[in-house]
Amino acid sequence: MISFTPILSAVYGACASLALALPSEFAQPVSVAIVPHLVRIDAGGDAVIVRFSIDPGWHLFWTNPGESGVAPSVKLVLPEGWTAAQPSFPRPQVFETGGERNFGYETSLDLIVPVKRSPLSKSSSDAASDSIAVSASVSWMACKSSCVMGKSELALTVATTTAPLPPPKVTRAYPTKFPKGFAACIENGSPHVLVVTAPVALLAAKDARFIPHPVAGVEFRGGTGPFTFTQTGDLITMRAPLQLHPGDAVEGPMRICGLLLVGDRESSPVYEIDLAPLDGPVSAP
Amino acid sequence: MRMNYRTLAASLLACTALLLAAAPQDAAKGPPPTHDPHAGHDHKASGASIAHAAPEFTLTGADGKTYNLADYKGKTVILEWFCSTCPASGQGEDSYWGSGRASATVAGVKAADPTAVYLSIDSTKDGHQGKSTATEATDSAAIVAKAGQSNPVLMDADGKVGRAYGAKTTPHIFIIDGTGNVVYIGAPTSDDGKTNYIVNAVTAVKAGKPVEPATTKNKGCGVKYAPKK
Repeated sequence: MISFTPILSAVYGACASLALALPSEFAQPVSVAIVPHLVRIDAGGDAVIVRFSIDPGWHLFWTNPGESGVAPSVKLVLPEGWTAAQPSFPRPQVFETGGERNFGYETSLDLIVPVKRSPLSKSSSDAASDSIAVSASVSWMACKSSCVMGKSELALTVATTTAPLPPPKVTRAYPTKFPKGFAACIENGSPHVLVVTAPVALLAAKDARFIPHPVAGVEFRGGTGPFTFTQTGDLITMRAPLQLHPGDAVEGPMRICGLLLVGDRESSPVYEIDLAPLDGPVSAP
Repeated sequence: MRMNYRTLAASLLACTALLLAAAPQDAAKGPPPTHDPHAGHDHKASGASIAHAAPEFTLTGADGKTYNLADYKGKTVILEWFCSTCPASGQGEDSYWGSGRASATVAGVKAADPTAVYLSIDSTKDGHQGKSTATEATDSAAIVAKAGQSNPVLMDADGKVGRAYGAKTTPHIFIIDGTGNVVYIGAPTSDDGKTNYIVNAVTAVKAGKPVEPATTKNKGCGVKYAPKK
């Protein structure tokens, strides 16, 4: 068996991000690297993993940073014949300090970038080889008592044979679809209301948390929350009133999106909610 | 885990019932009132709100002059929350001011409406990162001057004005029309920098048109407020 440890160490060291010009008080608290092989993902298919290492006390942000912050950005450049999807962010931690609520990550963060090799690609020799050249433009904001920006241009030859992900410092859950018994729908009206329900056998009100994705044109009245889950009979229900502002929908069609967090650990389940304003109820198949 | 099908059915029925209950109600009422782009914006909980009067203020600028919002009645006023040590706002070449985006915005505003007023407001608490408010004022004015601009930076170290508006980040933009109502709250530009929401809003106000978008998601460092007294 081949040990990846020394290879990984060397590669990580070689492509660790360069610190930018920073305020003299801070060294760059974040380093970033590409995992040198593809990883098979639960949703099917393969992915490039961009791994952030975060110094103690600092944090990065989720796609909805909360009341302040900026989410990390990853732009991959792949050989002809390969395409990359949007990065998948894992379950965020909730930081509540000084009356401010933020969503993000301490210690480490793996962004999963699903990639696909086109079956129609004939011209590229890369498409059929056992490795591909991957470049990534990565940027982030890291905060503690103050914030710093960082960016890095990474380039690495990535093996197309998949291998298990090198263990991260923090094991985080990634969003999945609702399990059986959970349901979500939009109650039309003024305001509209996002309604999430689950049987008490599967969800305890105290263990549930909803955090919305920021979508242009969709304004949750509760802001970044917290949103209240209540028990009525055998059901746990959350009702989150929201306003739709079509004139503000500068990023495309409005969607009502967010995460339902269950439990309080980074590895605890997290479920994706993604509804169009006029969708019917969504539940497990 | 074994499913309790009674609870599953109850869960689905509850959601479906809500939709069914809502449908005839909507039919009776007609479509939601979304034609007015200002309708229903609800920022009241966080301070200033769209289509409502902007909170009045009087602040001292980094230049020592006094600035009173009421003096700008009849003009479009852009308020930009600012911090010299925030890498999204004033610090470093990628920041709003360091990258040239702020200068382009101020120039664009002047071109769209020469009477419009652009004010930066610094609500950073005294002593943040070891800086006194006096030093913060000097540094802030220097950043604006380095960018080739001369708009005032108003100092709000006790955070009263920032809290009154609900300013959360640097940058965070509030635009006030000539009647004193807030017409835009959010980011200065789109993430890719291609759409300048401030210039678009000032242009719309000048033309007597509604501002769209009236709100966008602001991003940046959290405003480092002094504790409430």
